[in-house]
Amino acid sequence: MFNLSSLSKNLTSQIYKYATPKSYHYGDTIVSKDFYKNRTGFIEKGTFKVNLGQENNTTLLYYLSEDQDVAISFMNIYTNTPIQIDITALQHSNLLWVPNANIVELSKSSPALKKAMINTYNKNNQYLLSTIKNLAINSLNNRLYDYLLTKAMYYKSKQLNINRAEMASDLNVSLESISRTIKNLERTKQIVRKSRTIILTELA
Amino acid sequence: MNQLNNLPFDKELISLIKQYGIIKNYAKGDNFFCEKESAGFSTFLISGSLKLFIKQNNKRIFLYCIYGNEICITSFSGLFEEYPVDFYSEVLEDSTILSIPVDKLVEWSMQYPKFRDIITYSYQKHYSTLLGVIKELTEDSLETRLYNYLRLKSVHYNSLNIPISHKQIASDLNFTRESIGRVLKKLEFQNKLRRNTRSITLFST
Repeated sequence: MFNLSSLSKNLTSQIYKYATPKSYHYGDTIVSKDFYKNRTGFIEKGTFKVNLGQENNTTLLYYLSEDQDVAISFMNIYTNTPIQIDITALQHSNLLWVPNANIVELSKSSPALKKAMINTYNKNNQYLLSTIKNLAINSLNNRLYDYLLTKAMYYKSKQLNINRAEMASDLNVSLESISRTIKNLERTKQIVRKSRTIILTELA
Repeated sequence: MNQLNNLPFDKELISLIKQYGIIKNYAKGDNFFCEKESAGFSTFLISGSLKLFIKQNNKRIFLYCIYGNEICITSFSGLFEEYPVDFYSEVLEDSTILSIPVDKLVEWSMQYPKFRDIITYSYQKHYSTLLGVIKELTEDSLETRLYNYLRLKSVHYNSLNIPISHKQIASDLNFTRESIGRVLKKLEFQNKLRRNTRSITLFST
């Protein structure tokens, strides 16, 4: 896994030297669309949800987590352009915010940091390609099931407390479509509904 | 290798690229999976143009076109891990792909600011364009998507008259020919275009 803890101690200490640490609770907004943030957030702890930042369209794009990702990058390291996405914390999380100017300087002498940033750019683009593939090719049945599986992976639990409104917003479909699809998944025994939770049966 | 002399870099870097880089030429109509062709390398389009798709089984999802007038990354191979989604290309005009070992990519982007800037800009542009594709997929009607698609084609051909078949449009937008035919008729009725025998003429872009 390529994440902050896989970087060398020397590099990590350099990052900490320039970083402003910040903690977030579940549901906190990290950034919103059209804001300017000339920093990169190294993920010390936590999981984050990245959504399309449109008023009527909050399609879920991808997740970022301490296990899989080094940093939250707004793809604006040399150009302070407005952010195009919304990011939310999904659990208690810690980010180390480092000004992009410091990252540029550090990268000049640290191949490891340079690699980490290039890998982050690659991953961000790959995540979007996966999202497009999902949107364009998969049925809503498959999309919803994959969405629940991914949530289960990030929350490390087969039992998910999630409401239909959140699912509808993330998948950019109507509440009715979500209700219908949940019934389909129940009928095929891929999930079981209990009170306000959904349990993925195949992760038993 | 002569194409490398035209790259907008220092002579020193061009010399290094000639030493470590691999040039591959593709003819119009060739198809290839960018990721599979580039294991262990970062690849760039330096001349020509490519149409980029996602491909799964028999389905192709058209993403966008890239042009060699600006150096453009053509794969998102991670430096450390493999990723599940293949970028699939169709060559629109004879094209040249430059492959550079990833460790050299890192080394040169530290030493040569212009090289670093071009790579970073390319990643950012792809990201932005992919976000645009997602917005289109989730917000736009087929009518809007088709019209935007034709407008982009018009820019590529530098002409309001676009030599294209319904079949090609249907394949690119992943719809049936009948749906495309229906929407083209609607756009014609709205005086946005005219359907010809083997082409479509836009009335404006």
